[in-house]
Amino acid sequence: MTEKKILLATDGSKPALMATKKAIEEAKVMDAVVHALTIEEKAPMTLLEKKQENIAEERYLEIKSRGSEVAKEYGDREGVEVVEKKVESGPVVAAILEYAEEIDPDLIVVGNSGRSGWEKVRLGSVAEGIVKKADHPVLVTRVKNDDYLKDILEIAREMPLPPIEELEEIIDIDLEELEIKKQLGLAFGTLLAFLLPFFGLAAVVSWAPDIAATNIIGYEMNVALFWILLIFPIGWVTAILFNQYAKKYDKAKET
Amino acid sequence: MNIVAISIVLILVGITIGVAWYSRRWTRTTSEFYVAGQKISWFQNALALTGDYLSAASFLGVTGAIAVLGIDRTWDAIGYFGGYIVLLALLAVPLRKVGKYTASEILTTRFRASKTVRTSAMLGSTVISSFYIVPQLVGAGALMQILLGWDYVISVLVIGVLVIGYVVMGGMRATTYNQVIQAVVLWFAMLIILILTVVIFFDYNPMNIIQQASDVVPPEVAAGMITDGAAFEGMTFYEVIEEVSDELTGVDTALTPGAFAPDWMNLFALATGLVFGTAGLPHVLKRYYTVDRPKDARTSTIGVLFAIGSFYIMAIFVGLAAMVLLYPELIGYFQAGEDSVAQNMAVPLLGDLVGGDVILGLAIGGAFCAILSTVAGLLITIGTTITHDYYMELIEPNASEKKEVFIAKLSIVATGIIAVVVALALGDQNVSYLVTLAFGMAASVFFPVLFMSVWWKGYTRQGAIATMVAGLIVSVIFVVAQLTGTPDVLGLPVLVNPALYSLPAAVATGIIVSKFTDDIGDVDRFMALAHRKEE
Repeated sequence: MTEKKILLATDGSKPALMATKKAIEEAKVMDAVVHALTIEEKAPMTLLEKKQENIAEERYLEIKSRGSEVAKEYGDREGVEVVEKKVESGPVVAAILEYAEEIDPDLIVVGNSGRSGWEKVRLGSVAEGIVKKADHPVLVTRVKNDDYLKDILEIAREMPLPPIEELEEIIDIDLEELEIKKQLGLAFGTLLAFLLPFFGLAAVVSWAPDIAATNIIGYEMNVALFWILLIFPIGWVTAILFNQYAKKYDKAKET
Repeated sequence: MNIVAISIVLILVGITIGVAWYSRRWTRTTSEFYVAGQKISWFQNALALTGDYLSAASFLGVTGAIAVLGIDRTWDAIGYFGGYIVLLALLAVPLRKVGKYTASEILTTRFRASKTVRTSAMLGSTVISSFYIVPQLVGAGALMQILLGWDYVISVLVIGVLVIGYVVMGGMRATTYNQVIQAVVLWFAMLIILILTVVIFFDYNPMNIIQQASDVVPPEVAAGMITDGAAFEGMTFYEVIEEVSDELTGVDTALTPGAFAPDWMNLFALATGLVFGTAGLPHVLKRYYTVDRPKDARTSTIGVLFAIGSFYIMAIFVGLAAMVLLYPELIGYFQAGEDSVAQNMAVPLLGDLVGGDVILGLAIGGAFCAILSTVAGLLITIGTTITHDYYMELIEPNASEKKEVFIAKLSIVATGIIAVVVALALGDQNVSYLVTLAFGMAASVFFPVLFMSVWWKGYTRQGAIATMVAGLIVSVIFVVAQLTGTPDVLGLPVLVNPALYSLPAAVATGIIVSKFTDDIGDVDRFMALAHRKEE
């Protein structure tokens, strides 16, 4: 007999903590393993956009914690096995469905945030998306009262989400190995390949106006205009070559 | 009242805002999966960068300037284009690797934070971004004039209030998709107008546009030299062109190179300001925040180069075609004193000519979307800079997110009002020309300091501050001198762009001060971060 699985989707918010608690309870009854999935959403947003959204979300989510880690901690306490899973992804619903396909759970548990009005129109509901599209049974929870969530809230408060921006930590990189001078050489080569024809045009127009005004290739097209139109393909080729060299450079260092 | 055109404008603007709202829902709840958004991220980001970049200056200003002065004004187009090559070669990838996109943050990452660094970076960023908003409002004002017949002052006031309101009320929350849609709308609007023009008037061959433009004395020149435009009453554009050329034999035509760049210094000043300006524009750099991986920073930038390059090639042909086909009208606007319309409205007027109300609506609507999203991007940049880089660091580090966003909104309203006032004063200028001045400032204030911070180990904190301060002071002095018509400052002739003086001044100051000071910051860690190999 294969082991039973519950897929819990949690972002560490209060509605998700409700789902977590429910998932653990169900796991006890079903004797199942909980797979706690936390998705780090990679949406193309700027910093201020994220902060704006955070503020708008505050009244629905109330708390922000490290979702799957909280589930694991809570599971340990309750004697339920919890498998943590974190993914970086685009659409949240798609990520949950993808993971469900992978592990084929007996039950999916998600929390409903209870968004309403504009916020619901704007952000949609992940729970609703799952219910509509999942091939597995889905259990949607709603927040009851804080008393019921007291124990798990305590854990969650101990494990808050880190702030939005954090510098990547770099350890043990040999500066020699980075060949910064060589990289700068490539950058300057690229720059010159474009700037020579660019300022060259300005020079010809300034100091050799007769050459610039000479007609070529018919249609009254003169050197200056032809040169102007040529600047664009020159730029494209330069950019593509730069990319090729930069790629090669990155690969060479890997080996 | 042009009901068809107005409806199309409203629909386009409505769609842009509507889709932008809906996009956030889509990015959360669609069931199509893409790993870390990466499969489409470079393309999406390329379009978002393009949308942020193609503003009223590119859509209205570049074509408008070419339409009234000819190929000498193509410098704006190739300069805006070339700026992304400089950005690609020198800054895009290192900035993405560090994960910081403003001078303030880059300097704080490399050197320790200092009040002077933050203050000068904040001032520079605010001045440049505000100045960049002005031409957008000028363009919007001219659009309202031809769409609704409103007075310029009323137009600018109404648009200003609408845009600031839009950003403050929630436009901040969906800028990326807004930019994507806007890029697509503008690109196709330009393409459709070009195709219709070539098919209807130029015998299916765009090269005929060049041939016909070769005889034309540019409208802005002709308007000043011929006395009476009213004599053209009832004549076709072709007859008027011939009449004017006969009257003004020997005068430079639209295709004469160098006719309107008075001398090499002005030309090199403009070229320098444009090509190094992009890499210093705060709102352009900020956009790289949404690029997922360092190598996407490269591919996205290349995507931008193709999108804007093809756009500007179309703009050159459209501009020249507008000069030929709208010749009597353009001269008429100049002689009637409506310079703002003459200089900036070539695309909408041509759209009206080739496609009637529908294309007029498309052109104006496209331009409105461009203005809306670019101004939104700029205001958000200003808001972020003032709160994130300044207020939160120096005044109230423990402010809540709510407070932070409130301060951002407050600074957005304040700078928005200042921009509206300046736009009222500069209403008769070409939109693209005003933008080139912002480029010149960016090329002097932020490009040198970012470039030297990222690539030069010997650069010092004091050197960095000196670079920014020198660039800011010199460029602002020459921009003000240029706009007030001062012929020279300290014996130096005032040029069309400050960059020929201010960029070298900033670099030289930075190098000299760095030689005499020694706070090179946490240089090894910073260099490792900026130039590390990709995972």
